Amino acid sequence: MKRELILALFVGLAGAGASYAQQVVEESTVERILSTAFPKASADWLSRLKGDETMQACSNRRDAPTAELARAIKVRERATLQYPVDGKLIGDWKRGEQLAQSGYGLRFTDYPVTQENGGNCYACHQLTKQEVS
Amino acid sequence: MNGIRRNVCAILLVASAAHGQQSTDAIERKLETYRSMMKADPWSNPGMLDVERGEALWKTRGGPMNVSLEGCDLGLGPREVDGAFALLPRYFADADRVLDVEARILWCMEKLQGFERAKLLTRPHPGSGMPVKDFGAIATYVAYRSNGQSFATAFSHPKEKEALALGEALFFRRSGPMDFACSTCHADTGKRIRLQLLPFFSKAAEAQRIVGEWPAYRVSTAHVMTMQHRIYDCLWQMRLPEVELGSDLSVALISYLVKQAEGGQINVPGLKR
Amino acid sequence: MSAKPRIRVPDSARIGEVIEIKTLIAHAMETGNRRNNDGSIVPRLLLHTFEAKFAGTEVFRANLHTGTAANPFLSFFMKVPGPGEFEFTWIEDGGARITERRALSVI
Repeated sequence: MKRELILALFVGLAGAGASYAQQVVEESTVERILSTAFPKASADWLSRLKGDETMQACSNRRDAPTAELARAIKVRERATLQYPVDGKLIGDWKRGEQLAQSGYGLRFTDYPVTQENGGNCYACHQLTKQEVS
Repeated sequence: MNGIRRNVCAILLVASAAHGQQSTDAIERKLETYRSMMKADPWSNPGMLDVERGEALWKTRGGPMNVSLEGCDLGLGPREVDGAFALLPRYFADADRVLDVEARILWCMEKLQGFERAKLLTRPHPGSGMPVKDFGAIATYVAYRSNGQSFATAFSHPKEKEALALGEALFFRRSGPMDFACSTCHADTGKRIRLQLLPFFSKAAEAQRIVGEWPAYRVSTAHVMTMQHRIYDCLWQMRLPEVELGSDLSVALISYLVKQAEGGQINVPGLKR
Repeated sequence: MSAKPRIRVPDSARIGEVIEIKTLIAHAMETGNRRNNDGSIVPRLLLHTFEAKFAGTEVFRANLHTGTAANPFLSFFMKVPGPGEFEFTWIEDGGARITERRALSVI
């Protein structure tokens, strides 16, 4: 695994406040911190702490990738898309709303699993004008 | 009667949530009215019960060693509580670590009073309706003794600088099955999750306003929530594992938040939804 | 160590003066409507009554129900008849009583 240096000087990035990392924060330091922060986590859970290539790219650039990087991300992620096997792209919107409303799933209190995972969409998206949240 | 005033506001809050057509501004005004009514009388903040409880715990002998915590050095020397919170997190030579107020209290409870660290770290945060644990009440008291002062940690020691840089890096680091970083939700001014406004910590003015309100009494869970608990809860929502109380990770994040809040006033216990 | 009730009574007052008394007590005020994770009901346990006496006479009383928030804050006003002692009592479902006293001196 390639060791990556998280560049600390993001002076040019829009929206970023002051950067305190005059020293470069090495990935090894971050990994050490992460390894001691979650003593109850199983190996399966610990894998969540390491971002995949796309996440690392976004983290390094604080969500402002270069145009080239953005293109590479799009190409990479598009290849992982799985379309419905029956070819129907529009489904039951009521079911969709149920899934959008539900934040259940993947939290450490959601095990053992007692219901299907929701989409947790309302955490970030308004989706419909009726929804105050 | 003031006792049910809070419930009237709660009903207002629920009623306003039911009318989906209302604009965000109108909702914000109602929430602000509710909040300011509750803030109008700081004496009545139920968090004050934990401030007093924390004070009693600080001054009373406890633990297997049967000593009080008054000998605990919070950074200004033993017995000095006033103003200590305004200078935390900081490096402590005896622990050889950067510690926030909660991690430092844990250290003192362990080293001075003889409490078992493993027990202190087990289920450290209160469930809904349960009061904050002892270390949290003590942290609330210690923070209260810095009320009116501004955050002024120097971050001059190399380990303090490292914690700060780490905290910043972690704040923007995406991970987990939903690709969340802290900055994913605390992304800009005016963002919210459901009806909860999210402070934009990257902007100093917002951090200055908000960070000094923690620990805070949370009306919805009827207990004081400390900053470590708040971070634990954030990481839970981010689909990350259970972060250990007082871990380097949590102290690093708190260092970043406190640095962003530099100059901001401490005003605890706050009052949250 | 649980929290003691917080009570604010002025240090002193003049006879005839109207003073505000504030009280705050730590209590979960369990309504009996909430459920545990396993689906069982969390049993109701409320402070159902608050009584305030001054110099032996009841000056304020409140009946609290499931709508009252946890850690109830109650305040009331009283016209000072003379010197005396306040006695505040919270009564819990099941009969347990929590009592606090405060003296009021008169100038």
